[in-house]
Amino acid sequence: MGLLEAQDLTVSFGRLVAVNRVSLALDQGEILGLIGPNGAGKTTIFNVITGVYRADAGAVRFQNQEILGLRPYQVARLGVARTFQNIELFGGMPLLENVLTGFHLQIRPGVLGAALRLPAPARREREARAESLKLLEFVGLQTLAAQRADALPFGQQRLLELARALALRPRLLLLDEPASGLSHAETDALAQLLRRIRKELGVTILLVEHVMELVMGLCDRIVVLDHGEKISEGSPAKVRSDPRVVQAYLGADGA
Amino acid sequence: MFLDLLISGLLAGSLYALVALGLVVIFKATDVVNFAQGEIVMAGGYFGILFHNVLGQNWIVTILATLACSLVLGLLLERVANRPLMRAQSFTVIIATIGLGIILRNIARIIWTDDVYALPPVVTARPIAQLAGVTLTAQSFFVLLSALGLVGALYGFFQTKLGKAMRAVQQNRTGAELVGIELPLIFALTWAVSACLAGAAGFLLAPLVGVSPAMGWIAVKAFVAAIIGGFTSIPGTIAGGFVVGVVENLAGGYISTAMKDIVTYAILIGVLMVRPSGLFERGLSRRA
Amino acid sequence: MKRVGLTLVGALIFVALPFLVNNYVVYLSNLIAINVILAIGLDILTGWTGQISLGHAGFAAVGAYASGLAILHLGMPFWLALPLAALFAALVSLVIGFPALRLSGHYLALATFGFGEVIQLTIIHAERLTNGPRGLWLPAPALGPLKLGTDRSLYFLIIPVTAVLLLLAWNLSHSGMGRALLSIRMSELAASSVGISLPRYKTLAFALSAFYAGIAGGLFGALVKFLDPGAFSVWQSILYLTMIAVGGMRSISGAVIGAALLTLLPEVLGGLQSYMELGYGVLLLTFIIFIPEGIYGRLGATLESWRSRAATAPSGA
Repeated sequence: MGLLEAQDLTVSFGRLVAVNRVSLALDQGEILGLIGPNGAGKTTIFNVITGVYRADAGAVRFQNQEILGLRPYQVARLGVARTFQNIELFGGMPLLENVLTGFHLQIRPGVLGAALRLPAPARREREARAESLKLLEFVGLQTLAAQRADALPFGQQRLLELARALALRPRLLLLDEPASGLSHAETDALAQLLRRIRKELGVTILLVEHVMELVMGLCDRIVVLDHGEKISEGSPAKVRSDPRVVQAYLGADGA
Repeated sequence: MFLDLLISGLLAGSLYALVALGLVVIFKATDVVNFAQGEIVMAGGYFGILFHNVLGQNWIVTILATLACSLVLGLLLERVANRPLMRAQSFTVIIATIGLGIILRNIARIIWTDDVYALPPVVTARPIAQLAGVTLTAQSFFVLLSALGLVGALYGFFQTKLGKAMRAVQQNRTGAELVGIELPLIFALTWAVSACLAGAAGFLLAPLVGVSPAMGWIAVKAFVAAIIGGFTSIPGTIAGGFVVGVVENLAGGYISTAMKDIVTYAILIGVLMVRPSGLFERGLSRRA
Repeated sequence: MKRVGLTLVGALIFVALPFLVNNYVVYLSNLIAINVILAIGLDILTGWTGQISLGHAGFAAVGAYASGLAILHLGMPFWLALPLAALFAALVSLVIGFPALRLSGHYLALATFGFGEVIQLTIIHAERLTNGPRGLWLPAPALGPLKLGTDRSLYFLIIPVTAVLLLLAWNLSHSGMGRALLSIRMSELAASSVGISLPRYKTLAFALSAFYAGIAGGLFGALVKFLDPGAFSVWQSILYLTMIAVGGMRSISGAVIGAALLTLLPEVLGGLQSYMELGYGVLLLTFIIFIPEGIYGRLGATLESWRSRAATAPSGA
């Protein structure tokens, strides 16, 4: 049964059609790659799924529930987490606090509980703190827990964003170009991490990426977009040798 | 009575539109909303007093000098408020221009106190025409024509090389940079043009309400006009100015003078609640 | 142990102070405390949640007039009128809070400005109720049989109330709720992506800030016993903004520092109002451009750099 099903998504900005009747489906436990040249509409699809953008037409179902039209925080509540192409961290906060925001739904802070330091919310906060530290360990950033997030180098900021997304205990994780700007070694480490996430945490992953070695090596299936339309879909081997895909990427990071 | 109110509303509206255009011009080019715009209007009034009353110059010199001084003031403000904050959040810029406005206003208060100074009108208020029972004065014609003339000059300026560069920056900043347009120059120019418009408005306004530090309050009406125009559309802003002028005059005439101000704020909040992007939307925003 | 000791010393100073200094200093302390409450309220909305508001004085006005009128016309006792008036102010904030959800930046600034002006104009024109520009005289507040007529007696009401509100805000800032509000300011996109409901928390921020302002307004009425709509104009709202800009926008301590400084400055410097306002403008401009983190933020950063320099001092490879 599909975890996520998007049908005939269409998004336009004025007269520019950014996404044209794109459908895709994800099964539980899959790692699906979404690739395509710049401007193909990949991030737009992410933004539609997570409720940041409105779609002109189409449907999105997550765990058989219609989610198109929901606000971002509502989508997050259902168990869909994401990272951003341009990293959106809480720069002025320490790493631990950044991850803690991901536990917001678990802590459920209320005004009275917070102001009066009632025992139940305080306990949930403590528990969340401990779990945040564990997540930082998972991505290897625990030694920097007290540092400000904007003091981190780029690659580690990406890891922090990942940790924060995992704090939601998501069923589905949407990663927008997580390897962008990473070194070769960092990309390998990321691939390892994502495999662990799928295996140990049972998270399904939808990945937008340009770094082909990561996509080809990691993804079970790949969907290729070009100019807002789906032009190919299938296993990495199949997609890699699809002439339409090669042509779309003409000259770029091809096979 | 209706026609009377309508005409005085259009008159006031033309001045609101002038000030509002200055706001929109700056916003489109630099993404900054100049909360000190009202104080530039006030400065225009004081420049008029300075050159005409104090230095005894004739009107031509006074007008030219007022425009020139307003221009310089605009350049100065751009250097102080815009340049250091080019990469800052809108939050910061808003507060900075508010601070600037306070500084300007109180400099005026310190120098000239809160007294209201009278600037005689360039053209006297003698009646020269009758339209459906309403008397039109020469002064109102002068103000209206001057305002329209300035708007026309703005459009004309946009056709010049510099003006075109300014429009390019307004439409696409990175693109404009790529084709070699010097951003700092354009920013300075934009603030200068905007200040000219505001200063001129102040000069035209002065004989009608008197010159005092409180003159800056016209900016509120200008903001409403700019909001109606969505802060992007120039015709929309002009229309907005007239809308505010006419509606507040009608409310003031038919309901009570107290309603004049309340109506302005009602329009402000009303438009923001219903259509935050203005009544003349041109945006392509896709946000859910 | 140290904390208990400090608290005792603090309590001792608090109790002894009004008897050791002259009445004017006591009055100033009361005024500072009221401004602290106002600053903290605005800080919650603008500093933490990033919602710029130029109408904060309007909420204070609602609190002041609501509690004053409740005491005058409904015979309500002060200890009841004050919190009810503050709750009323919080309710009123929803009128601007809901539409404000869709606004940001200059649109939000203008909307809150308009809202504050409408409140002030309403007070001015509802003469039969509020006495308009002529002002409203209020009786000294009474707590049961105790009449708090003097500045000294009011001190023992105002300071504890301020302390309690300070403590509550401090707890809030160190909780998941405070974190949620801060995250909204830093990145609405990221905040919503982790499930933080923007509408809920932005509205909450408005309501909380209005509640604080309402309490401050009510206490202000008790202190000066005369309400005049001119005291609740946009210039006051800008003054409160200046307080948190100068003191530091993210922290309670910053709000306290800013409020104290900007209440004391005019008293210490004296002089014409226009010179004072000029000073505010200069402070606002310089701080927001050069010291955006405020005095407290700068102090914190300086301490941090000393500490790290001490830690990395050469002591061997």
